[in-house]
Amino acid sequence: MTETPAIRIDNLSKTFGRRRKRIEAVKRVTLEIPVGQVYGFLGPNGAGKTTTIRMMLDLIRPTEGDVRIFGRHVRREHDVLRRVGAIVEGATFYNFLSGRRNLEVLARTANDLNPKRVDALLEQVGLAHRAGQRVKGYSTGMKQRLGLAAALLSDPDLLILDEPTNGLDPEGMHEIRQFIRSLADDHGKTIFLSSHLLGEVEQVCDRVAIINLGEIVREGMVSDLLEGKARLRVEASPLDRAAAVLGEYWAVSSNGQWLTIDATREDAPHLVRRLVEQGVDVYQVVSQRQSLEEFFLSVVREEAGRRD
Amino acid sequence: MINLFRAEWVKIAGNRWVAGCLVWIFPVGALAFMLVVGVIMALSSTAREQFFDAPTQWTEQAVAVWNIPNNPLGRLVLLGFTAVVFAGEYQWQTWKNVVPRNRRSLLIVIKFLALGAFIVTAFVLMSILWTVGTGVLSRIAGMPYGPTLTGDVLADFAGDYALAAALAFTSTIIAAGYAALAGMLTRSILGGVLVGFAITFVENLLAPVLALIGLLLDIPRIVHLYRLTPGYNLLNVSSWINSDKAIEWTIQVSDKARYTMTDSLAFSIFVLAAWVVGLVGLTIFLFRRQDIAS
Repeated sequence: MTETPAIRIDNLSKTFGRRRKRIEAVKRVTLEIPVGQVYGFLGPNGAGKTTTIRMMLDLIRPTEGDVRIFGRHVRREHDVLRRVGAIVEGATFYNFLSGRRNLEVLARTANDLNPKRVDALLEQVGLAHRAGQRVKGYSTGMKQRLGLAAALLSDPDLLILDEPTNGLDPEGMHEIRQFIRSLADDHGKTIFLSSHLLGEVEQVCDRVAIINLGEIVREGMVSDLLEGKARLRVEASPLDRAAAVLGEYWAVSSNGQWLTIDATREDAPHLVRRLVEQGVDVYQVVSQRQSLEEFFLSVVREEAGRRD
Repeated sequence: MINLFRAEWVKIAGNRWVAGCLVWIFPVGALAFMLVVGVIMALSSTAREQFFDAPTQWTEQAVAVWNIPNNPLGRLVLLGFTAVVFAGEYQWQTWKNVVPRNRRSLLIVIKFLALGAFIVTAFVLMSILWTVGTGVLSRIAGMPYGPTLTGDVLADFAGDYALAAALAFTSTIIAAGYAALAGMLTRSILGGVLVGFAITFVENLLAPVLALIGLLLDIPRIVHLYRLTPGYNLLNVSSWINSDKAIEWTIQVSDKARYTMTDSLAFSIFVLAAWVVGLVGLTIFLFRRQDIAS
């Protein structure tokens, strides 16, 4: 029997406004996120990331389609959201209350106040010493840490984090990244992470979806998506002869000093054998994996070109 | 439910500046007034004679305080407060934290209840301060401060007091209903306050407006619609509690058409109940359909 996915989104669409002011923010998005994964959700500004997240949390009514969390429909069975913790579009709080009071209010709202857990979370996110102060005086990074504590209040099975490292210093970002990874690896939590920091997503996520203009344009395991775009850099002599030999099998480009081949690491021995057989001296073969940032940019540009 | 109520209470009471200026000002103001008058009376025999030209009763004083939430000015102040409580969640962008944690309908119902309970608590405190303060001032002026506490007096007083408190609670819920709807439409505190004020203002202007419409359309009986407004019925119930008779509300439509409205306590309670259920129900209906997009 297959395990119920943590999130299942079917044909989800959202249209704001009517007639001339009609904006299709999300168009027929379908996704399935298995339990225990860290799932990255990428897209340029205005792509529909936050609208999708808000529909997942029953903050926005879908125009069409539905969202199921752990197999339960979020609109019809709202209680399933008790298994979810979230930070949506930056952490915001009651500025006139202290950090601790804010967490207590949110825990009580969910009918799940455990003062020891509140203290432990404040300690865990490094806010124990400022917990009694009003949130009004908190920096953006401190609010973000408090947001993470709020998201973890009910010890949720699923965390939906929209830009969780916003406003944090590099050390804080590193801590949070490690923390997110450990939540999945050590505690079996599922994390849905929306971030514009592509390096962050590449480091932390198992799988990603790229959304552009409301549509999912790519989806898959990070390693698979990037593997498909792997390249080899070859330093050989004579270069023009090497280009001719390799050009019969792969796409080749030259900068006059080395060749860039659209081939995977597994192709390297075959490639070297071909060159040696044809009397080309090989000095260096380096596997170059495309970064997620390069992949993301190429996908977004490709989509823009396709639409034009 | 109790946890949710406590969460709402902490949010309402924790906004000290707003709660202080719009709610706690009533009991604090009563205390300050009593202290100032007490000092003046202690120092001046003329003041002692002027302030108390006739004996007063503690039963009347304790209940009279509850007229404040029902009169138009008191309702405006409380409407400002309720607008902050409802529209604040939009302006502070805190609905997005709250809504996934509980059912929308329950969040709204408990917000109404906590708001009503908070204001009733403030007025209970004010009525205690006012009643005790008036007793002290009566003593300084050498006046009696009856009636003597007996079982019958206490039973009568408890009934009137509970009714007055319930009326204030109802008045607060109606103001909160206006503010909640205004807050949902405008999604800002200022917008909520202004639209809420406008609704209250229109309600108060409704009598002359209905008279004008009745005159223009030659259907003078249309002024009877005024009997369905919360303001009129709040005053009517208040009159029944304080004077044991209906308020007499006269609207002159033309030289020939003059209507005096007098309604029973039961009628007004029914109309107010309908307003409460209608406003809370409409707020829940709209909130359940609303997109929390900020």
